[in-house]
Amino acid sequence: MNYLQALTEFARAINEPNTANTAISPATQANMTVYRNNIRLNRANALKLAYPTVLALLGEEFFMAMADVYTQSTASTSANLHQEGHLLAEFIAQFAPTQAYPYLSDVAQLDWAMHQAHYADDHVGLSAAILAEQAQSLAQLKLLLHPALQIIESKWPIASLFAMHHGGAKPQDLYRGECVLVWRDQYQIIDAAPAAFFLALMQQLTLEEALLAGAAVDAGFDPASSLSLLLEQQLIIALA
Amino acid sequence: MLTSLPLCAGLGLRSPHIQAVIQDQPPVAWWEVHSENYFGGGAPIAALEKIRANYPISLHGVAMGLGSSTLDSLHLKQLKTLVDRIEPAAVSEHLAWNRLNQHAYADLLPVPRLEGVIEQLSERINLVQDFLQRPILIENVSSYIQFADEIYLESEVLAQLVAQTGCGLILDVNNLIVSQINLGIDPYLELAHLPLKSVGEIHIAGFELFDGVAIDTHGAAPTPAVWQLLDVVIQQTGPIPVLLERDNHIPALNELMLDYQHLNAHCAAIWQGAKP
Repeated sequence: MNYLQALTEFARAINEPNTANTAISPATQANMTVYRNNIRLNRANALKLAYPTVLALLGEEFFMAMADVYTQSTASTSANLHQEGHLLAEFIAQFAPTQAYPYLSDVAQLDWAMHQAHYADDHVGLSAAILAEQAQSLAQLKLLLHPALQIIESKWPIASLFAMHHGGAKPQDLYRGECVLVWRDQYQIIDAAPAAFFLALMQQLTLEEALLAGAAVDAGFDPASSLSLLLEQQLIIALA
Repeated sequence: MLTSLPLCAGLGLRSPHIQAVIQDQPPVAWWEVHSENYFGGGAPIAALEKIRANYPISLHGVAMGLGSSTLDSLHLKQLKTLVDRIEPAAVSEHLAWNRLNQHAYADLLPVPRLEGVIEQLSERINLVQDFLQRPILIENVSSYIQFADEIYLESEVLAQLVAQTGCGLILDVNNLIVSQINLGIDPYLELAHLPLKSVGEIHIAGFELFDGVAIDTHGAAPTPAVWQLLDVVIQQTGPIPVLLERDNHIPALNELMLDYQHLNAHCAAIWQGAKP
């Protein structure tokens, strides 16, 4: 058996606990459980860190039981534990025991967006002065935005549920949807017109096209506050 | 030079203590952190840069999986970015694997010590060292299983890797004791095969027993057997960086500082010729 064949046998011994494996010495074969447990616990603990609101909503016991099913049914694709759990929102949407909480999958999306924003690469934002230098041609340019910036839209009040588990009050109306702009360690509930504007920028349309996208949702769309948020939070990282 | 760490005890830095270390600047000669916790940007690396301003830092990787079927190029780029920003005194990884094809396993899996292991690992270590433009240290791991027909001791593989790549080693004395309990290996035979001149750092920690299996939790104080092995090793190496690691049941920083000071005084006494 060569080295790569041995890795394949090792992986098989982890993945198939009930199949005999002649590659591993018989005396130590029972200890494969240690690796299975370590992997399961490392992944479940990473999920707890990435999904604090889902954890708070479900409680520790329910969350860990769900994490077990998730980690058994979903292979890790990255060895970096900060990437663990990228499919949890989809999983929650079809997991029978969480069907009683129809908002939970969207809350998971918000948790994941906050988690990714926390670890996104650093970029220096452009100043208003640099944008002003391009004032003549700005409308025809694309504003490249910080990779931490994301939009999560839900028919449930996901930001209010998130806030409730970070010291805020209980949402007053559970049937009012929220659209949430997420960036590094921060978020803001936004209206549909600014959401369309930001999404157009993220899709690398020109500033003019993004303004039109906002106006198409709401004829009275005023981009001033959206643009000043991007500038103040240093979220415009380049012009193209 | 394999590392520029101070030749004395250092301490593993974990998230519950980061703010206190920034604010209080406790008297620790150097800190070791897990590299992956500082990949990307934002608050984690900003905090580490503050700490780096006051202390030497050792970047210890736990997830590169050098022995995997492929190298993870994104991981390598993130590590390079981190090394460039922190300018660490040491960079290290484990003699372990964690990925096969598209499937990752979040643990330090021991490499099968079979035909091809040395070629595979030395090619990878050369690639990493070329990319980072510096030597790295490779650590022996705790093992729970053995392959049926292994042809090398772990220390024989490590010695070959040193010879073929110029890398250095981390000698984790706790891991030798854990593997001794679980697999019956002889820690002193392993020591006899290790090129001690290439050991750039020693690790010491504590394991916990579950159902007769020693699990490398770093969740307890080092056992007497671990201390004894440490003494034998550092008498031979002379002054060398010795890291105390704690990853579970993490005590308050002032309590951990007592363990650190004890280790530092213990090592200094041995190097001054006092019997342990």
